[in-house]
Amino acid sequence: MRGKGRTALAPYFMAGYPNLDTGFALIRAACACGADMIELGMPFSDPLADGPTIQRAGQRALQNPFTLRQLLDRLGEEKSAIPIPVVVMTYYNPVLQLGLRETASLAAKAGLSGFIVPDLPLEESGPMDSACREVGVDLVPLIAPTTSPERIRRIDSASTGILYYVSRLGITGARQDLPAGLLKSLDRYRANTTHPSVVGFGISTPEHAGSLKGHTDGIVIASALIDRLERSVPEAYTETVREFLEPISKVLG
Amino acid sequence: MTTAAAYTFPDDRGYFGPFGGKFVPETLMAALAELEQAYESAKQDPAFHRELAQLLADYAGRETPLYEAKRLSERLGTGTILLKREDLLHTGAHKINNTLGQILLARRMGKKRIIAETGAGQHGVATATVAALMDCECVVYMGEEDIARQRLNVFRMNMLGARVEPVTSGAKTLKDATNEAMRDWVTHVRDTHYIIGSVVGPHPYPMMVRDFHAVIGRETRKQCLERYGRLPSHVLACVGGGSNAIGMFHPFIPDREVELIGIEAAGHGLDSGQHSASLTHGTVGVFHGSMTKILQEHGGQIRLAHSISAGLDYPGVGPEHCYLRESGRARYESAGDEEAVEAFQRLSRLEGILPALESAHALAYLERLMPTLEKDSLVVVCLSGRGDKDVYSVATHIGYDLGALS
Repeated sequence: MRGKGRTALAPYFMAGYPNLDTGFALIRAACACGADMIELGMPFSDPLADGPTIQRAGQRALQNPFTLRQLLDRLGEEKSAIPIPVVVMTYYNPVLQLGLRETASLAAKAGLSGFIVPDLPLEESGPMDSACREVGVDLVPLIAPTTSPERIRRIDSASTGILYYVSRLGITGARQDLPAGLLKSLDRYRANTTHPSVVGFGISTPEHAGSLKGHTDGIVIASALIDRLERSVPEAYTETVREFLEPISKVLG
Repeated sequence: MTTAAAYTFPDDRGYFGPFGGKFVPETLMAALAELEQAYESAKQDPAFHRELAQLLADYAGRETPLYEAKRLSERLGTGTILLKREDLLHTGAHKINNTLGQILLARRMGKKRIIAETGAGQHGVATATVAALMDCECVVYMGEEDIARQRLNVFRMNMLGARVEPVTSGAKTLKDATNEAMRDWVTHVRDTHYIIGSVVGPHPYPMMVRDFHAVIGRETRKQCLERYGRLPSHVLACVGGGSNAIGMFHPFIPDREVELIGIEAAGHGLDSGQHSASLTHGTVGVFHGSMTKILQEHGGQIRLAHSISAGLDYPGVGPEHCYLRESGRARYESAGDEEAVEAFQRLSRLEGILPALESAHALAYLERLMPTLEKDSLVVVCLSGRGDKDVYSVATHIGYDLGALS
């Protein structure tokens, strides 16, 4: 991803929001308007790294509950119509209940590129990381503004794929502004890492995307997109995704 | 007295056997490391111990009595029942042992903003109290459901200068309040210390909270030896997250002849699916930062717990209890809403003590235990809190119209 000239656009969709079928239709729409990677959220009852928007989307999705196994199976059926990499964002417990090896093998079978597990720091990620490595799926580590340079280098060297840089202290959610000093922190951080990175948490507008271009390999947009969908109506969802993502994609090159 | 091999859990990764660990967002890892360091340095510092001991004595009211409950003992059969009176502590429950320790740590770390989660409100009150004492800003997260059933404690926290933040997500109870407190901590981690109220959460909390409550067991052990010349035969405590139980059990772990019994909340009954018995009827998973036993769906979504006692109404449990159970050092039973309310009334009538509904679960188990014991048995129950906060719940349960009084 690093060095392609374009900064990658990775929109987030909550699986099962507003329902599984529509969710996958929206992902296909995103592919058609410039998305370079999809982050697919597995809803969880207790999402402690997430703000109100993703909490609400997850609760809505859980009204018709499905397991991680069901999601990965379904993704396998859908993947041929999704020509870009997909990473699944899930809390650790659903992975643990499915089993680490089983999760990894189903993920590989479904054509998944990686997992993002927000409650699995480096100290605890060993077992899942080994299971994923065996089948060539990446475990994408998170790096936060509180992560020391020494720790950033350790996380980077233990990583097999991309890194996820958390732009701010706090939880997910759309914001007016990028955090002060983010671009500087990103440049400093990139000097300490060898793997490509995406930046997420609070990135909401084409202006944000424009500022970040060149300072990162990719951006994740989650809550701002879901906010749009919440304000839209089901018949217009595909159009909403297109209207929201196209200008951002254009800015990214 | 047998001497067991030294009990050194948790290990340096925060594990009690396979349970424990640090399953939190990366943003918090630096704060946990800072807390671990601050705690290790405090442990080596005699001035820290002196200040904490003085506050526990003069401010909180330690040591608490070990009271021989003669009428209750007579009623329930053979053996002698002793009550460790944590209910007599300032703020009415054992929770203050921990909040005093942690507020001193917050001060060492230079953190002036304090957050906490609360279920019944006892930990919230104990946190608001020490925050007032140390002139810290305090925000307490509390589920809307719990705010409705514990209005008195909400008012107490307000009087103490804390802001009670209603939590409307999820089931609006303790687990959701904990999620919200974690979210606050992730956001304000640089100037905020999170005082977790039980032996749950990521390392070092289960260890640190245990150590602050271990004073309960140390005193009990000493009082028992002084007065009866021997150790108790049985030690009982209720288990939600399990803080009073761990505090009581921990100093007795090497004393293999002392039977340790934790009592979980069976709610409407273990078969009803509406209970809080995560240790005895849950399965292994990761929840609120540690690998532990939890109530969950097959696919790993967390289930709702139920107990008449808001303090036990939690779908997880401290990782050390999982280890004590697996190793066979402690055993765990359960008592339901109905039995707890009966035990509440029994202790009130026989001994003139209104127990917290949490503690009433441990008292309820006495009814099954006592008839099976030798007559020289010495049975200690941790009376973790007083029952004033629960009069509304009990009145509602037995159909007594409190509204008619006002």
